[in-house]
Amino acid sequence: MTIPLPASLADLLAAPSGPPQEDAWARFLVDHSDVVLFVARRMGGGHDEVMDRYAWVLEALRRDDFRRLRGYDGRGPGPFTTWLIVVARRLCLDRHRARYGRPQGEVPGGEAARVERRRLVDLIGDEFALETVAAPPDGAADAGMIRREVITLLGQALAELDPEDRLLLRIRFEDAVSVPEMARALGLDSPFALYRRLDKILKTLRAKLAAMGVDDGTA
Amino acid sequence: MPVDERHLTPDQVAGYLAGAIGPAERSEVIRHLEGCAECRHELIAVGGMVADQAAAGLAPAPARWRRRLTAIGMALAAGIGAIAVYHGRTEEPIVRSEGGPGVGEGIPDIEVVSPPDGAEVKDSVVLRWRSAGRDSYHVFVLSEDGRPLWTIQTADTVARVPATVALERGAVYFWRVDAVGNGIVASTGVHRLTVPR
Repeated sequence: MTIPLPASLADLLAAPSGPPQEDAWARFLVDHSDVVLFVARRMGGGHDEVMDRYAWVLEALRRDDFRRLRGYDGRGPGPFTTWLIVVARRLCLDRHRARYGRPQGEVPGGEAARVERRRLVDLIGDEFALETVAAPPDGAADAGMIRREVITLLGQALAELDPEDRLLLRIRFEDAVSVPEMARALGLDSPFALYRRLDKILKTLRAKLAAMGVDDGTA
Repeated sequence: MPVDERHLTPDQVAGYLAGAIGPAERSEVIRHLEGCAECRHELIAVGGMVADQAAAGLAPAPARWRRRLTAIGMALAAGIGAIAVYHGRTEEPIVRSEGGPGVGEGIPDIEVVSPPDGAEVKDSVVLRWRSAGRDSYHVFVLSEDGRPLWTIQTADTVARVPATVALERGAVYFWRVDAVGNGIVASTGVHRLTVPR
């Protein structure tokens, strides 16, 4: 899919340096400065902080003969406004990190934090109430061993899912994003469609587990 | 377009959210998202902003606000680092000097003789400042929306804005003088002047 460059961006990138480029920059600002301000505001802080951040992002966009803006590729990506939101947000985060360290609420990237974060398979195991999986009648195996085996099977079942379904499960359970928030962010008309899709994915998982001989105790 | 080894590119995030990338790249993006909590976090944050922006985007910023926002960007273009500050409770930003590129907080001020900040000027605009002991000064006059209207380099400490620079009645303008040595060595900061109706 080819998305044409916004006119003011195309003009800016084509303008020779000097007054024509400054005129084109002014037109670009008229069209897009509100997007940058919107992102600057969403990153929090008081009025002065927001406007300082706004000016900083504009300066970064101008740097090196508009290098970042020249990176927008109209041959296949999404709308320029979404692209600009991503770039402006990253610039705001870079500035914040440089000044204050990692922003609150930012996903920590450290390996230790990753280890601490519970694996999807464990979280889905909780969702399936796997602790209620009955031990075999002969009592030969303890519950902990059974759970470990079931978790292994659940991992196999998860691996067989459509990758996008698995991604939705990660966002919902591993990242703990609410269904309405997910639906809004992913551009779905209503959260109910997402609720239904998640239910369907979980049913698929249960069916796979049942086929492996596991009754998750919720049937 | 290959997925970046560390994180998705802005193109990929925007393309995924818009459903505007092909199946092969979409698969790559999904595979990356599965293993990268930071990119998932960005995806949800940006997706939320896009949704909010689309909802709010039906009402464009007021014209005055837009002019101010543009002025900040144009002040940067003119080599004037600028941030906005707010006056009182109006939440109306004006441009305040914060030093240009390469200019730190320790830049000495050049004292303005006239016109004072915010002054109304009559037919002829004459800008005066105290000497900073430099051979050269760079003078800028900007329109309210930040467009450079006139600039001159002078060794003097006074500059008359020529009549050919049409200043409209009722309009607001910004001006600034930088002493130029090895870079900008002193500055008046940005000052405002208005032309009475």
